[in-house]
Amino acid sequence: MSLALAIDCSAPEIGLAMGSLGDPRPRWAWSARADRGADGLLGPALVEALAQRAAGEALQHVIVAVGPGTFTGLRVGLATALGVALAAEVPVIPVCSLLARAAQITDEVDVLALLDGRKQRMYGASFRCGPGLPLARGPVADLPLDALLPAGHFVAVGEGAVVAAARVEAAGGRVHPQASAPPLGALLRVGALLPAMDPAAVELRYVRPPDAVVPAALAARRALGVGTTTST
Amino acid sequence: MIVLGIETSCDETAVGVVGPEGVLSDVIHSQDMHAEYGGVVPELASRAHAEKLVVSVRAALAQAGVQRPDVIAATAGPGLVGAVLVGLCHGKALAATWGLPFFGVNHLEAHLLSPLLDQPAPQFPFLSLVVSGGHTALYLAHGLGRYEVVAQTIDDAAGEAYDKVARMLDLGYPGGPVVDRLAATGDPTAVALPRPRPRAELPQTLRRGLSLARSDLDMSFSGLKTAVGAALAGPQPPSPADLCASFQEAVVDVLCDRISRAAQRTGVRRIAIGGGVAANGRLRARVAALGLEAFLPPRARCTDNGAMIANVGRLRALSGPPDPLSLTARAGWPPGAEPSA
Repeated sequence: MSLALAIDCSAPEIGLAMGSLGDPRPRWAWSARADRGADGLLGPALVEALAQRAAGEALQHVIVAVGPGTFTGLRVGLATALGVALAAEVPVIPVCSLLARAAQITDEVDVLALLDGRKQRMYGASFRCGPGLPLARGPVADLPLDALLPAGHFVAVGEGAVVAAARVEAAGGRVHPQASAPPLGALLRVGALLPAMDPAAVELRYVRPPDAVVPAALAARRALGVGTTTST
Repeated sequence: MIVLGIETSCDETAVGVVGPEGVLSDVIHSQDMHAEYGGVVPELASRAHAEKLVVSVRAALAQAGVQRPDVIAATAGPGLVGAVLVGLCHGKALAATWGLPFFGVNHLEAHLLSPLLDQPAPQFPFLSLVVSGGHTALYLAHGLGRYEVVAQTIDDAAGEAYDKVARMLDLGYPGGPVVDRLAATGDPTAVALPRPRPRAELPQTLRRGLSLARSDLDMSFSGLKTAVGAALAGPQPPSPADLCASFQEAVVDVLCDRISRAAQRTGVRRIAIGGGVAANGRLRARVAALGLEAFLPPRARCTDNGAMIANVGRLRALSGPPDPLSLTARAGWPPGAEPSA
């Protein structure tokens, strides 16, 4: 099986793993809590990951979680993944951060993957899991937790499940014991089931638009047809 | 030695390649979407950097005819941290995968030393004015990594004042180029605007209000911007062209005054300029006429670019060890200070 590097920086606990594409047991894995300074931790870890290659063994894929998740973390992970892929001249396999978390479970159960979106909202998606690729029950959403909780029994994964454990359990959910860990083995596993692409074609899935607001005075003047927008 | 430099500290995704003979390529993707907001929106800038990185690096390498450089350099600060992170992480990943030395470059140092990329290049020591939308400072460069602040703004950067004046006049963003163009058709003496004097020349009673100033050559552009607003709000507002010309003349007067005083005080007669406002036509003409040995980089090298980052990476690679890949992005970082400081 081909050698693959998996990267996940979607949540405060970030991770890297080196292993075989399709095999959920990494040859080497690293993770760390990085509420700040993920960039400083990831660089040395990457050197160590790349050192796991045997003599003459070439990296063949980079798998990266592309969101949703923390905006800055996603970009740290993607920029790193793209740099490795570009230098190694290998394709990238982008994986939804929530699907990767659901894919940690291979039993046939309903799974709710959650990542804390702050502002009292969660990034969430429901899946029917199994030995293959988790089957999405609906779109990836950015909503208050109550709007994401499914009816009936389910397993909750992702750092959001830990943050809101009491409410998840009150709704009939069971929080997975490894809920907040970066899903490195799952990335290696489902990477084999998803398309690889040229690094230039990989895009992040922020789900939430940026908090960019046109200043009121500018907007009012434009509404009146006053002023110009000049870009030079 | 061939060096790849990555710059993402603000709203340009820029990658350049520099070799012993100079600049081999310099690819710049400017972000236009900020014009709608009247200024750079950090989150939008960071998103755009992530989208343009791969195509920029590929284009820079292809244009340079290089498959793999010898050294990687990337801006590590100062700048918008979220934006800096994108280029910094990408550069570190390229270096780690290729097994190359990596240098995290100070963005201001890169502007300060960008005149070294072109011939004739200034010899150390030289004065260097770095003037942009985020920074305005005059340095005395003694050598690589040894810079002394001679004067700096205590409030707005000069480029920031250009943007704010352009906004008052509904001229769009960025303000510098459009104010420069309009100023060329106006009368620079039409509107009387203040020129902040050096602290040493102020009456004692006024000096107390300048507690922020660290050097008696420090500058201020906030009052000038306020005066432009007052002129516009007056009973007989001047024409935009006259106001732009008068404002620009005041900015350039202040900058050239500090350069002249610094040259006199230090005895250093070489002056280089860098940063976005260094592309301003009036500033370039006035600096060239100061009677000093002036080094004016091509306009494209004044704004943010990857070649200037590669240049510092190359100079540092020739003189010292690389940075560890644990280097982190920083919002503030005086040029010449250790990254860990």
